[in-house]
Amino acid sequence: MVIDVNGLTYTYPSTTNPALKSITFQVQSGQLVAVIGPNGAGKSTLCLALAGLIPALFHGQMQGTVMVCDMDTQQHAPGQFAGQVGLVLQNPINQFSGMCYTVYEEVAFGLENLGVLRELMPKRIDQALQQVGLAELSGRSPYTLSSGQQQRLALASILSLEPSVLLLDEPTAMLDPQGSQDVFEIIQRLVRAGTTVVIAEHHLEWIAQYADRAIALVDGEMILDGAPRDVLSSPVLLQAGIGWLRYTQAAKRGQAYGLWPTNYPLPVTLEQAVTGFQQAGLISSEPETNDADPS
Amino acid sequence: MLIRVDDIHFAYPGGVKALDGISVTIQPGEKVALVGENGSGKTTLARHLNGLLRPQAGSVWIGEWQTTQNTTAKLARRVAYVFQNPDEQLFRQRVWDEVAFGPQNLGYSPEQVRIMVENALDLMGLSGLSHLNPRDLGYSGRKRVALASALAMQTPVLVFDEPTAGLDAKELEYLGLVIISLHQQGKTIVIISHDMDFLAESMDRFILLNNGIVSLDAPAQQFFKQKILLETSGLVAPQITRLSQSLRHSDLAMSVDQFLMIRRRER
Repeated sequence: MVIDVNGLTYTYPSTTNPALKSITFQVQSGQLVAVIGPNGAGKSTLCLALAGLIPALFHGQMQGTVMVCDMDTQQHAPGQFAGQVGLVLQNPINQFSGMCYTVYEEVAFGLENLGVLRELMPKRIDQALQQVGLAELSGRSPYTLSSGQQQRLALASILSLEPSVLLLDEPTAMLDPQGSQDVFEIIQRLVRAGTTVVIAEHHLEWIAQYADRAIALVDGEMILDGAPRDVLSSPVLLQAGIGWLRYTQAAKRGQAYGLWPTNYPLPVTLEQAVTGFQQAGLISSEPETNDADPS
Repeated sequence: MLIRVDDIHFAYPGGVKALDGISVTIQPGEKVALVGENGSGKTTLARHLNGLLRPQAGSVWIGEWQTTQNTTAKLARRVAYVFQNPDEQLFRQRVWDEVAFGPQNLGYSPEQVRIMVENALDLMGLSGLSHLNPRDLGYSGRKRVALASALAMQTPVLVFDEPTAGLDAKELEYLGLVIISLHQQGKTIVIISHDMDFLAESMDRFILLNNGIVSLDAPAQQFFKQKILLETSGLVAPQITRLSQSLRHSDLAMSVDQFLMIRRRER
């Protein structure tokens, strides 16, 4: 197990309501796990806990254990996780060093701090910038980039470190659709190469398409954990304020008009939706064919 | 309030060219989506509408006021702009004060300011939180404060830069209702967003920017028919529109309601 969370309850300092309540789950190496939930559900807190920053930097009250890469987050300093666990924060500005004049230097910053050999750095920096489509902007100041470009830079800074566990907190919130797809394709390649990825994400369509597993958090509690199709089409998501994809909504409401086969599971991808709606079309035309048949 | 953008050009210091000859006319009461890749010039164009930026060539007219001839403070009576990142916009210690800042600077009386602030807080579901420091709210809470600050000024034109980023399903649904309500009041609404599902359900007209020029400007249905152009511009059509396309509907659906109607008709 790369990640082993056991009975994690965590309360931030000077608050009374725990941000995470009795969370237990394990993640195997090379899995892409999506964490979904409304704002305030505890997704970011979970990312911080998996990165080893909670409780070390945030203090507060923590019960239970979090093991990442065989290290107990309560026994090891955040720095010990730095080489192996990479966290991309929700707001890229919060992640920048604030000390680098160029995009290139910003990516180099993490490598320098990990003591990567100087001659190895250019290749890793170029590769990371290439992956996120920022190679041409390497000489720009991070602060003159658009928000979407800043988000790509934050991701590149972490990718260059080649962590074995990658934690992403809404990495596509400010990206254009193509940019989001690029990010998920990068993630998919990393996962295939054995990287373990945990991603907090609102865009359910990406999760349906790319994730191996989805975990739903509501008010600090884990309410669902399973295959994306099962989790994303669960009626529980509607009460939880997470909602459904348009495909799922259309199929569910279409059932009442015979537009979706009642024995079909609800769809969470375009392909699943197309198949089901076409199938219902065939079924509903069958009775007419039978009526016309003289035998 | 008619908005007229006439062949504007703009480059940032250091030479990054953001707008390269943009002309757009927006009628009063229109709901316009401004879409395009990261760095295509959306925010730069939006900031020209309230005079935060002035064109280096060409002109921007808000009614009969030309932005280069008027102060940003004066333009604020007509156009409210909500920043993409609420933390760039918010600076006061209490939610109430933050929302009151605009109306106070527009010179309204304390009583009028109170009514304007309360209406805006109420519309954004912030009434119970008016005494808090905006910084103690979560990201989406701060976004709502930023929106309330713009709404409080009761301008005829509202420009929202990425209001959907980081919102969850419930918050998006609520934002959709706010837009309906503003539209019913006759406001002109311009929204920058990457959330095509949200935009297709809320907006009527789509303007696509590509490297600082307008490469498509069309009503929603026609806009999403331009599959190849959208793909090369890094856009992905809304889920329900793609489903409609895959099932070869003659009309493209923009919402689940429309989809079900078309599906029943064309079955």
